[in-house]
Amino acid sequence: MDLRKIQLITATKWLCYVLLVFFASILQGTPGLFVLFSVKPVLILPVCVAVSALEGEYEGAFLGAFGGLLWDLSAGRIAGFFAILTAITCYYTGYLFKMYFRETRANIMLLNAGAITVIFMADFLFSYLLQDIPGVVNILIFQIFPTILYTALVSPILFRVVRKIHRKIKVKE
Amino acid sequence: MKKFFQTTKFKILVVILVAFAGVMTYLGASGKLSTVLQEVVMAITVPVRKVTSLFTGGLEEFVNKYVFIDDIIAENEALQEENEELRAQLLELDEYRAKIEMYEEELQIQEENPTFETVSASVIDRDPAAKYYSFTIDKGERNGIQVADVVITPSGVVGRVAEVGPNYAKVVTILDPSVYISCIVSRTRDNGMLQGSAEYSLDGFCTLTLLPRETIATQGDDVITTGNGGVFPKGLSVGVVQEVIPDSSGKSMVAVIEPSVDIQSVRTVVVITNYKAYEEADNNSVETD
Repeated sequence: MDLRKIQLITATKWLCYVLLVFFASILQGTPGLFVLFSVKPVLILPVCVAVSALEGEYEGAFLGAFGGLLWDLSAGRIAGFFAILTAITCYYTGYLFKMYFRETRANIMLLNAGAITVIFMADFLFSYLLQDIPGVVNILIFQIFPTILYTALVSPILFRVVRKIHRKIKVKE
Repeated sequence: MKKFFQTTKFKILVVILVAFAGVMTYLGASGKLSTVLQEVVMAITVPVRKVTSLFTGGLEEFVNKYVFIDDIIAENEALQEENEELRAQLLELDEYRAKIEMYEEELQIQEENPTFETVSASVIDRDPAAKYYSFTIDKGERNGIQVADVVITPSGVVGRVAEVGPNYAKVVTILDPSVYISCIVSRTRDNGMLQGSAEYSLDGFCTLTLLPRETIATQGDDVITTGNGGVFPKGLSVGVVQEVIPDSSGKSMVAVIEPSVDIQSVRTVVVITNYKAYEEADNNSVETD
């Protein structure tokens, strides 16, 4: 297979990943969609974690940076906040997946739960705790933790979508 | 270990992270949230978000109509009962007419503002990480919306615009502790400061603080804006008192307010685009002269 064809296949695959992140960011923010007891899942992060696990930690980090930027826009955070957190988290989850985890549903949920917990704890610290607003613990218990749980539960579905792209669009040796 | 830090990919990742940190610092210093690139991305994706929002609205309607049919039947029976009660109340209209005259002053405030220019907008984005149920609407600078414009519905105040793009705007709601509105309890005329509360925001409530200790405000009292502070016009409905409790210092009272609008699920809003505090102040001073 010539180099040009390999580059085209790789570019197509990454275009699919980028479009998937775009689509996830739109679905994540759509009012009324996937709402359960006033809680919605984060969809961008599981997509980026899945790419990180399947393609490599650096690739996942770069896509995580892009997805994080979209997330900043949607969530009303300063540009770069979620981008940096998502990039670093995706890098480490990709590394951990490569070194220590097998590809099972429980492991994927655990990895995503860990990743989203790290990001939301950092967000809770800077966006709520340091603002010295009374009563923010309620938000942690009744909004943030349920969101983490819901995100972890839906993450295997997104992992399968990413895995399908990874397996279908690849260079045949 | 040394080789790890020398890889090209690691260097590129570090450069990207440092660039983001720089962007964050610049934006933090300039008081903005988004870069020009993000505004472009958002402007491009707004039409798609509008479509998905419309789809979920329609889907929700279908589900409510056909899946929850038992609820609809029960609601129909309840509405029929209510209809009969209302017919009886119609006969008592004369008695209420006298009370209506008491509220004419408040109604006059709203009738005195026909010069408000408004823009209707739909909610197109509600992120799970959004603070205090803030959201994005599908109108922006091109429609005359500016930062700090007031966002309302026919039922009452929703919040204010925090950030504006060419065809979108981010709205921060009255459940946010950073939003302060000078308000008054309509019946008792007690002044207070409406403020969001992290403790009550999950239930969709906010608080009216700095009420006098001797206040007689009680459950069911309406709360409206006073116009002081220059952001929110006078006479807009904010909510209804749920309970009145002493504040932590014991020097004043705090009323828990249920907003007139269901902030957590509002779908369409109206933005007042031409309210200027100094114009209203001039009008008021002319009247008193």
